[in-house]
Amino acid sequence: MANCDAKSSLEQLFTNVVCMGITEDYIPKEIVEKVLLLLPVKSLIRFKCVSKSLCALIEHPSFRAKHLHNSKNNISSSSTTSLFLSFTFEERMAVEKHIFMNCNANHKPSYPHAIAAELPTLNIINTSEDDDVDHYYDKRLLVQCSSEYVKLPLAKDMIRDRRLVRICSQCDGLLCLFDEFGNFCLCNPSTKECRTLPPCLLQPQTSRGLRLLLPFSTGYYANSQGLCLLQYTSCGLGYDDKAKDYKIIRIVKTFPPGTEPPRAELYSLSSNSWREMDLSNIAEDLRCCFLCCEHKVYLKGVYYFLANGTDGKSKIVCFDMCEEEFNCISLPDFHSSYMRIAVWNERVVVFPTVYYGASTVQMWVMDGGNGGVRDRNSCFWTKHSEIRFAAGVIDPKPLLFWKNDDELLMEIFYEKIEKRKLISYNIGSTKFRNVPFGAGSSPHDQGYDSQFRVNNVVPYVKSLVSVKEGNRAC
Amino acid sequence: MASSTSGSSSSSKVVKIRSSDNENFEVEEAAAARSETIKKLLEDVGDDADVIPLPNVDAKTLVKVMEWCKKHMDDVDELNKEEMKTWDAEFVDMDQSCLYNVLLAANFLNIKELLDQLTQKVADMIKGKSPEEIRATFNIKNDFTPEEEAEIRKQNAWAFE
Repeated sequence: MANCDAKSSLEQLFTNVVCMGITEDYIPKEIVEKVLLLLPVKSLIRFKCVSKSLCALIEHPSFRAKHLHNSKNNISSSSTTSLFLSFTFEERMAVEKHIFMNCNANHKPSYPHAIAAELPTLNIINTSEDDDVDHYYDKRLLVQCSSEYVKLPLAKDMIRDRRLVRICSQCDGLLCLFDEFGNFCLCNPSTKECRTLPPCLLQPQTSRGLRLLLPFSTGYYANSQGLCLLQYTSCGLGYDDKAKDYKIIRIVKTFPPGTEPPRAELYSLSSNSWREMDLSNIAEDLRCCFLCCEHKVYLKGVYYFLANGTDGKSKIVCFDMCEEEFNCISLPDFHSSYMRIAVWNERVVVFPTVYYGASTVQMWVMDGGNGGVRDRNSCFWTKHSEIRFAAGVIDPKPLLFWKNDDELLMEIFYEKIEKRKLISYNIGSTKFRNVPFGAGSSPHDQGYDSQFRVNNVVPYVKSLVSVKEGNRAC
Repeated sequence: MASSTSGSSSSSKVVKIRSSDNENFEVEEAAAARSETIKKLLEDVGDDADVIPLPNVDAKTLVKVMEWCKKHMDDVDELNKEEMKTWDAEFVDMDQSCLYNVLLAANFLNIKELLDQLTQKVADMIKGKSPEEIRATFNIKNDFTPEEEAEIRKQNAWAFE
């Protein structure tokens, strides 16, 4: 019932919708389309009950694509930036950082939103720095924002077993999630759809009992020679514009370096299966590197994974979703112990930090080489700026750019109040503003317990994109 | 009502337009040219234009549309942006039949910015409505069987919360 009819063109469906009603006052198709494309996802899902023709239209892949295109345009011109925040929760005694969201919704910590099947969203309002000068003094230093919980549609067994779930990445409103046992699912929080993906191919090959899984991206296991190895993985969800297909790339790396070659696999939504990818061309580059799942960006169909070198030399592994090719880009020798990666003005930028506890962050921009996928050798890096923090601010963690890339959202540790907090840095004016997220009575002590750290920030795109898309004939 | 040119500077050129119910209007060219349709017609006929007939737009609607065009005649500077936003919000706040007439006129006259504002207004008006209200508003026949409708409602129950 009401499944989309492969034979009907979008044009025909619009005609059907228009002809269904409005007999006296004829409203042109293009107006009906314009109005429908402006409606929020929730309204459209509700309006599927209005009539068969309207339902068929709303479920049509071309309508979904147009709606997505519209939403993306609206996001860039909108006054609000919506983000999903996920946190890690570091127990004082625990060696391993863990827990982000726990599927047990009843178990919420007293501090912000770390353990829940619901994920906090941050809506930041795009006001300029001087918009609020008429208000009381402090407000000038504040970014206006609000926060709410969005319930994620997770796989049933994830909820039943109260598994720990981590957000891997976001693309066109779809979230790629995986749990502590390495099970993947795709979900769309706007349409409440969820799909469990088939198991990955590249699981550690070992006899039972010798494998110890640590949450998420890592796991200890013994190989056939009895060596104890640590497995790291990094993955990202992207879109292949040519094949019109969503794909997940997953890279697996073992530690200590050199024990086993890195391997990779690719999931395609249209085939609903994983297949192994050849990355022998960059295997040698990756010899002394390990990957971390949250250190990656997606830009124009290419994933850029930050690979930290154990020899201090970090690299970027890039993967083209369309061509399905790997490459590896070198970075200048930053002597950096910690690095973040982001996208700024359609360019890849990195933020090397010299040591933990530092109070400055450098920003380096990559140019040339056509994004590096084909031509790794002509990429070059330029130091853009150095962000200096006030005394008492340590562990700055650049998260992402917002507001037409003018502002950089960051997490900092503020020693004075012993809390972490979110701030926004204006690249042009070099001014900082508080982002009032978390508990606290006055703007200056708002923040969250230092046990919590932002792990991942992804844009909250409200789209009709279906997790079942690959199964549709149309 | 028929003349809307008083007070404007003598240098601004005036064009004559005629509504479907044969009422003539004199409008500053800069305002009328907000309509791509009128602009094109003016280019085609040049200075020989007598009266431009607009067979799809009645006088009442045309007054409304030209009110918007006059207000949006000049580029808005940063200072007046907020004021213009308020004005626009008040402008689109009209009853449903009037809104549809202006919407159709904006579409026919090809005034993109006005069309955008009006479609956004319609979207805002209907986004909170129930399927029943949508059917009533747009006179759409429910062609689902009761079983089909119950099933599709069940599948998407969260959207009705």
